[in-house]
Amino acid sequence: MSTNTNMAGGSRNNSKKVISWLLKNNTYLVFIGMITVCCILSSNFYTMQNITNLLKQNTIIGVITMGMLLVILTGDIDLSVGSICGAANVIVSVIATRQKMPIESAVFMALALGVAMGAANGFFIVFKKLPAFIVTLAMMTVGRGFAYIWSKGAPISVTAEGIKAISTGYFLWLPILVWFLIIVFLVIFFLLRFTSYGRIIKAIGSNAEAVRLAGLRVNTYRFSVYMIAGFLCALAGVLGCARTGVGSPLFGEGFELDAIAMVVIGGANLNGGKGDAVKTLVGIFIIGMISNIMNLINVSAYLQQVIKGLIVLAAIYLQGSNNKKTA
Amino acid sequence: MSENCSVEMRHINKNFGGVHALKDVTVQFYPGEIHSIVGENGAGKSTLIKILSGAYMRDSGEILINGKKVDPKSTFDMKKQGIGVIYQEFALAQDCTVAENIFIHRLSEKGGLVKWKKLNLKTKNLISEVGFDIDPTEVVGNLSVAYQQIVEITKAFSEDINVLILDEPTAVLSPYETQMLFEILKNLKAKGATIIYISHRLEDVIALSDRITVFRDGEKKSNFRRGEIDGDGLVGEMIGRNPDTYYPRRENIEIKEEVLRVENLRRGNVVKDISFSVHSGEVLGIAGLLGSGKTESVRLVFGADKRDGGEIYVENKKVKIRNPHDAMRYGINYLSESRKDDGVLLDLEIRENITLSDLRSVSRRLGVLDRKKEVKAVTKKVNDFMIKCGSIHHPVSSLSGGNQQKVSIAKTLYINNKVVILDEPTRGVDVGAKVEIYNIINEMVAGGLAVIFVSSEIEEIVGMCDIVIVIGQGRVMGELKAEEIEKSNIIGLSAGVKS
Repeated sequence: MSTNTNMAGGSRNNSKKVISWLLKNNTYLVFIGMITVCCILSSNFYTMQNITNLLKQNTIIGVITMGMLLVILTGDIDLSVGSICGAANVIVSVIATRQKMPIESAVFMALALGVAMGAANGFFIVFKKLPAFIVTLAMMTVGRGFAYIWSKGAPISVTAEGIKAISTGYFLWLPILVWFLIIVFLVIFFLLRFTSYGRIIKAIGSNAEAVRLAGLRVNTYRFSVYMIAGFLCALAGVLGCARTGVGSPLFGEGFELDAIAMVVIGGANLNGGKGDAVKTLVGIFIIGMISNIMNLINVSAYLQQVIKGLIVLAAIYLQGSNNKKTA
Repeated sequence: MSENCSVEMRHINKNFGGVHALKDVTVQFYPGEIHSIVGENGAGKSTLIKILSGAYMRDSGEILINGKKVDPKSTFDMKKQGIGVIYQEFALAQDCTVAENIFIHRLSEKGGLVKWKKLNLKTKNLISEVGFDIDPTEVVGNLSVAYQQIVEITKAFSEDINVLILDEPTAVLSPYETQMLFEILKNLKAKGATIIYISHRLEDVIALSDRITVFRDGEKKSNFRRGEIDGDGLVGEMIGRNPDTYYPRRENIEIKEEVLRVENLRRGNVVKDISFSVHSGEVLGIAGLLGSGKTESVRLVFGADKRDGGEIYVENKKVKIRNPHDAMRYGINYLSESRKDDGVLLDLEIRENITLSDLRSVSRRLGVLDRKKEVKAVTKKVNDFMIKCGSIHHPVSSLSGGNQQKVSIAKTLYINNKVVILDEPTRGVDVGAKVEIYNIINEMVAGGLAVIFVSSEIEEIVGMCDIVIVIGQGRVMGELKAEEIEKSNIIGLSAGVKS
């Protein structure tokens, strides 16, 4: 290549680089775009009140999505996340009220339930080698069923002290509830970026067979991911109970699709091996902003569904060229 | 000479990157004949066939079908010209019936409805024309491999193929089934078809062929008619360059105690009875044709597949190896035969690939990675193995084939092993990188490593190994030591020709 082109296109090259970076990491592009649109559509968007609401509205689904990110990174899927969340939501309220146990025990048992359900998923998928889609679909139904049984079909009010504090308290200008998302995010981010566990998870999604031949125990890692996802879903369920003050068998319905959409908008590849925590967090709020702004400008809930779906489609289309290799 | 030929290829050239796969090849094929092409791996047979079938585009030269020039852009173009290929991996839908497979393009006549009775009858007739009797409603997946092959051949013929190319068709067939195939081919030949047959089984080739062409190093070396040559002669024609100083020598390496011994390894129908041993400082070569079971055998040693029977001893102690993790604990490591499938992680960085087997070496407590340590360790390996890359943070997919292979090797040799199994270590690697890899292997061996070198490139085996075993059809066909290790012996043992 001649030097002429270089000299003439000096600054053009730089902006070309930025543009190509933005296109490759188009999650950020979409995010900026969304914020712009939202600010234009409603002057109420960029208020402290609304931003706080936005954060609170998406903490619970956000925690679930972080767990989903891990599962998708290993190349698996988990459709039962909403149900595990709902089951935990119900069990924490049932144990706290009907069994009259201290809230701490109730929380502990709810979290244990989540881990157990995740372990069940992992057992059938990893060790019995059944398809993840079907196993977690079954777990989704079973989990929801248990939620109905335990709650006897009706929501349960929870009035324990500790719970209330989470939903109303503040720490460093942010609701305590939101801090849970921040901590989960930081842990997952650190895990993926800086530990060998995170490296191996991504490697498994990229080529599980190669990792097995490298002498690593692939099954153990895949199983652990389902347990972590189960734990995070249960945590989300408990947080849901804290936020609403109620344990409901309906809680978490539809969360699995939102979680998958958020992970995918965050640039992850459903085949595994590609994805990161920061972009997933951005993805959570891109989708979160859609509902938020629609509410602010009074769009009907039904139309919201349609628009949300279209935006997800558009975002995936943008990523289409980046994912061609792995598709 | 050129009249009456059904297919003529003139002055065909094909280059892949730096590799000149076909050099000015001119060859003619005639109707009513079985014309075999023989040659070692890399000689150019597959490339020629792929150009003829339309799968590859030639760089220069002409292809004439029945005297008329053709310029195919795809396999579809060539199919229209009447040229069809049967590859080793059949292109059949395993869950569909025979009739559905054969008529897959044209199941219904008008209006989209399928007339099954008519279709099945048509299918039955076609198959009997080929000389067989198979139930057209039988699901293909239930048929034996040999019968599936017959379905493939029938399919080709129903599509007006009159030039049929078969690439290593008998690699997966039993002797009885091989005879069945030959009957069919003779039948088709009598009907005027042109049959192009590629195989390593020289005895079969000699019995079957009306004409034999020998390829070597991308060139057509010689041509024989039936009866003009025998097994030994063919082997002699296929042997090319002197097994020369192309392979770096190992001097004064002491071969010490036995590191690994395997006895009576068995798995399904592919590995029937494999036993061998290897010592520290020694390179044991394992040769054999495609489908001989050599890769499957060594994978059993590494625990990559579960064995049905046999024992493994490391340093004379019996060990339990159920998976690669176990094997590596005992100091056994394996370089995968196909880096793309399971050798390297293409999307991950070079750095992430190399340290994968031993992340603990570059971690601090609790599994937190020590980036500085990792960069240092990987940079050293990249230098040692002469991997040419922009940066160790680039994905492996950005490297050339040869360098990708070096990453795979570096990954395998990253930890200290007692014995390393290298399966086709120089596959897809250019000449320069090959020598570098041989040097690396020699250095490791000098350090006391035991190496099991599996390869289908005979010259490599001859140039690098102290002892060679030849595997065929799941068994050890023979063992060669020192001076006995030379090309014709290995080819002979592999092909079943007694030399």
